[in-house]
Amino acid sequence: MSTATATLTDTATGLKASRSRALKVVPRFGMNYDVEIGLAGVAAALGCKPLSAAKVFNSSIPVSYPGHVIPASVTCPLAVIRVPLSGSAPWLTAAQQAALAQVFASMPVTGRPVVSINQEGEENRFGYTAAQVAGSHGTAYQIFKARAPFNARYVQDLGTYSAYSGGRGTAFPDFLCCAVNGQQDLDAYLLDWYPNNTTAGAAASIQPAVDYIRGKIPGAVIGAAECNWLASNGAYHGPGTPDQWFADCWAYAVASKFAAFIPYYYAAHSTPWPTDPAELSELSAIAHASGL
Amino acid sequence: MSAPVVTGIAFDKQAYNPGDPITATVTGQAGSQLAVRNVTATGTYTDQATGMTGMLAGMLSVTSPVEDTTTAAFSDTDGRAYALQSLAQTPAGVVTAVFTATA
Repeated sequence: MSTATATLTDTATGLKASRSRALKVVPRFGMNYDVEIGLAGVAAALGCKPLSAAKVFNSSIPVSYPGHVIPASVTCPLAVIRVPLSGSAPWLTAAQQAALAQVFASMPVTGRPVVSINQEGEENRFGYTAAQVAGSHGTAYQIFKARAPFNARYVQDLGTYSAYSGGRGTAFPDFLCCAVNGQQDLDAYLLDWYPNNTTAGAAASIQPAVDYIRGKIPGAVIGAAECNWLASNGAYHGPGTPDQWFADCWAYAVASKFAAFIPYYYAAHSTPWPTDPAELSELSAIAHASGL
Repeated sequence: MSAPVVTGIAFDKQAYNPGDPITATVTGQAGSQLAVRNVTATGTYTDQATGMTGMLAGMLSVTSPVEDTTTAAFSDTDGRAYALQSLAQTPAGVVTAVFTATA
């Protein structure tokens, strides 16, 4: 919560008067575009306005942004594009660079379109080095700055698990594309937020990643690009109940001035759309609190 | 002499998402000063029997409030840059200022 202050000054006497009131800036609520009930279905289920944010996954470089058909209400799409990385700098082939340039140039000149390559690319399962991950984002960002419209943003999307000792742990910061690592600071850093284990709550699961990011980029814009109480591989879930998880996550996101809060539901990844009334009620409360 | 007063701050939305445009409207009352004007007051006496008149004039100081001009500023604790879009003041001293920023 921010506090806004207005001041009137008498030009003749210099006397001033001020008054303050709360200014509520909260994370933008969204959902992955391929949620099985559809984005319109999400708004209907939660009793809220149409969503303005959605995460759009591309398994290869699309012809144009965002790569899939999304509702017109989504003025702030986050398109993530999977790109196999080369083994040496600049980590993207000339053909990949040309294809990305075409995507970036096709981003809309209205709203707040967001793009990234290789979500969670730092995770062990991809087998990339820190130099590959940070360097490839650096290469993509240079192309983005040359080709994307002024209103667009380029981000890095990382997994909270990667910052956990079971993931990359203390090596996590090396994977960040930022000035301290020899690249440039990006427009924002988004986190795919899942419980690190069966006992780690919302804050405990994300805090290591946030601390590592703030350690490298003190003024970084941070947000949640995915979030669920269930691990995305369905192997386990966090402590407590899903509604409490989401309530805690939202409270953390608001307090930490996150830019976005995007829960993730996708049946094929063992996170189906919920049927639990308490979980749905909490998601509805969050959607309304976000301004929807 | 009175100081200006900010009577209200209104936002165009109850909550904003990062990147949203913010419009804030500030209302207030301008400060005022007492302006002094010297005027001449003239009294006239008329004798009803003769019709003769007598006159006496004297100087009076009359004070009345005059609204000052006002400037307006807007800020928030997150350091957003607010641009003044308009600033209007009525003869009665009612001030309305509109600011915009990006959330």
